[in-house]
Amino acid sequence: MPIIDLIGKALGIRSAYNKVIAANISNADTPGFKEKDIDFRKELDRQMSYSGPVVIEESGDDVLSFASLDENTVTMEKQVMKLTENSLYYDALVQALTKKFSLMRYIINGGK
Amino acid sequence: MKIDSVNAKGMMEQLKGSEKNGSSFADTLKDSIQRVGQLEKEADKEVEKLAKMESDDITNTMIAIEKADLSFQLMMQVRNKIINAYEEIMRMQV
Amino acid sequence: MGMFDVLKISSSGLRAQRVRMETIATNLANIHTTRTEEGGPYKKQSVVLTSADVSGATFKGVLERKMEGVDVEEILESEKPFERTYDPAHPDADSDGYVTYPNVNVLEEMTDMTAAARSYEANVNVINTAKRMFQKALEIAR
Repeated sequence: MPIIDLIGKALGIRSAYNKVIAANISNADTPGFKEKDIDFRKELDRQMSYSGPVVIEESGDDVLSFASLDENTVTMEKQVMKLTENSLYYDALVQALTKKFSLMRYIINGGK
Repeated sequence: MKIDSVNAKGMMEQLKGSEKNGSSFADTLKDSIQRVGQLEKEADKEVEKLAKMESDDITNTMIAIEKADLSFQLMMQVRNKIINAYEEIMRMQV
Repeated sequence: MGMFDVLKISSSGLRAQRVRMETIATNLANIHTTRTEEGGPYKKQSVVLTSADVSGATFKGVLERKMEGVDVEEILESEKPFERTYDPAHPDADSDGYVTYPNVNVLEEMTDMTAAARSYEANVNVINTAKRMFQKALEIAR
């Protein structure tokens, strides 16, 4: 069931990412704390060939980055956006998975 | 795992096919049952992790449970079809 | 890595912001305190935050970093200069007639308070989102 495995792995990465976002938000005011991120596409490719811990790296520079005077690189607005985005992707994946299982169940029971 | 709709004709063809390969129908059936048992065990392991609070991610648990459930249902359907086919054959006038 | 580490991380954030709030409240309450136990006016306090491992688990591998929450390392007393106001009638006036007031700036404290409240809210958001995601996942197996 390759598609089910794929969704399963994607969900696993999304769960891990939720923790990364939580850590970023929790440390939004900690001096010297560097914002963390997960490269989603790379991570999904990696997880397809091996099962292991998710790679967490420091956020790259993008239009939303901002380092404050105390060297903290967490941008609250970006994190809040990421939080929403992540949870929506998560919901969509769960929905797809549930539907898939539902369809299989329907076929197994001969359309009843 | 491709789920094909199960019908008597399909089973008969599979019977013919597997006999040609040299493996008996009984072997095919045994393998399938073993596979179902294995999925059941994996699901149990995940649920045990959940109960012991050792679980890493709830999604793995849920997927394992659903996989075991579906393959068990499939097996039951297959069993029903085989029994029906058997009864039909037995009813034939020789 | 446990299933509910998110909650531990966020609750450490909630706690840190709450302590920060309490410090701000103490500062504002003591904005006119000219005498303390150590003598001299009240000194502005601020929290020093540091990231901390909240999972309680051992460090598992090179690739997976600790899940970092936040902790209050210490509460610092500010060494910024005090305010001196000329008021010879005040009981705590010195020989030159000046009263030394705490180094607490109202605007600064109010801004800090808003920031703390926002951070607190963001941590609450994370908890709510995590809860929703978990409940959604339960739908997989109906």
